[in-house]
Amino acid sequence: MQDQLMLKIKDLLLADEMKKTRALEEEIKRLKQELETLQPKIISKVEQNIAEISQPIIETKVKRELRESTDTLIEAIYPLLGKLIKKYIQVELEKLADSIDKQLDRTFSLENIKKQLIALWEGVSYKQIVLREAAVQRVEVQEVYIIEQESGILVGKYSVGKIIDQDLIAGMLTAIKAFIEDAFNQKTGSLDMIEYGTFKIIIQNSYKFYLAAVVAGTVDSKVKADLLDILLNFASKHLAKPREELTEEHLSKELAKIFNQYNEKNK
Amino acid sequence: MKKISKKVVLAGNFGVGKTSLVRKFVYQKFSDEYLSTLGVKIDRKVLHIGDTELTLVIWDIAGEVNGSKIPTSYFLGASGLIYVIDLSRPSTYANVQEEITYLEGLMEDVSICLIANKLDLVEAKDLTHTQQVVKRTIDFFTSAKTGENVNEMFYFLARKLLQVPT
Ligand SMILES: Nc1nc2c(ncn2[C@@H]2O[C@H](COP(=O)(O)OP(=O)(O)O)[C@@H](O)[C@H]2O)c(=O)[nH]1
Ligand SMILES: [Mg+2]
Repeated sequence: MQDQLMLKIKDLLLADEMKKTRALEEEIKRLKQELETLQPKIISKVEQNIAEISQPIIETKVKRELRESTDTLIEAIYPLLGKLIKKYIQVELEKLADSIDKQLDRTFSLENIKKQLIALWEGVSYKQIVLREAAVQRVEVQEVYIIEQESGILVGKYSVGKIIDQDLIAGMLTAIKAFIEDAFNQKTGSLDMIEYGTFKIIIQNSYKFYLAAVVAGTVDSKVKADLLDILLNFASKHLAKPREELTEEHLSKELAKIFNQYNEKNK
Repeated sequence: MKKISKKVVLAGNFGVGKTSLVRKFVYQKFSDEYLSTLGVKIDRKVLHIGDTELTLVIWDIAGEVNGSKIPTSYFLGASGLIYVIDLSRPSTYANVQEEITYLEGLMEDVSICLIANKLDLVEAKDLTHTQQVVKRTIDFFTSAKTGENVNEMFYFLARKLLQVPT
């Protein structure tokens, strides 16, 4: 009974909206199909690109530098490989899935129809209501650590507040990471996010180091992917150096530049 | 002033006094809960040696050296190893040399400190006997109960890490 009433009201109020919805539905269906046929192509294309890009780079670099400094070389190549292979497909698909989910949510839920009715009643726009209710929390990077993989020693840090036990946190984080990776028997790139209460710790592995960003707010897959990218770029730019050349002062200063700006932008 | 951080791990059989030694040396931030869940607890102590500010990040590892529960990676990247035996229990030093050799294999350039703890429980004459059984030189005889030699032992290792004459 109520359902029928609901449908009727819906028809009356949302005739236009329903048309759009149907069109959107079709579009999503089409996109999904397209994606399914494209997926193998994308993968082979990426693989091909990786081969093309990395072969000459690796070949010339290896010959020239391998004897001089293996670590520096690996530190330089690792982010490149990581960027291309490890995350690409997975993250892109997640992003797409997210946006499709959001579209579907917005158009089909009874909850949303109710919102539109309320909007009509109160004379505010649907969009305003959504905005009012979304309560998306501002993303803030509260801390960033650059940590030596094995020892858990902190080599650089950024913090919006005043935190004194960063050495300890870096150590504990390293132990937790080792523990989880050991438990799942996955050594590389397995763990990229730890949720801890309302905080999320986003982890980007480099070769000798890993970077961890403690983030408050709503971290969706886009935010996560962006941050992983920023951390990866930081690693290739600043960490691909011999250990003696990495000073905490310099690294912390560079971190501050990047993340002060990031936080400013998200205000 | 130069600032340096080093990782130090404590190893040795269950109950030899590793956690007690750390407790005597540093003010503890994390509760012991972490030990049972993660198999490790981490503490930190800042020492001033010469013109260097040395941060010791101390990993108190719960579990036997070859035990299955703790990840081997806990030992990796350590600059210092404190291997603790219990003077009152010979079983805790029956395989010292093998265990230290095994651990040494996991770490690069590690400074090792062999500690015989619970000094308060034994008599002086027993010490020479223990030293004979343990073929490796015991660097310190300590008591986490009375605090005897605890600071000395940590500072000894710290100077070794900085390659300052001890
Ligand atoms: N008498 C005495 N008891 C000690 C000493 N050090 C530790 N203990 C006791 O030995 C037990 C095990 O100590 P704990 O530090 O937990 O050993 P762990 O397993 O190596 O961490 C506890 O009951 C301690 O109180 C010591 O130097 N003298
Ligand atoms: Mg213990």
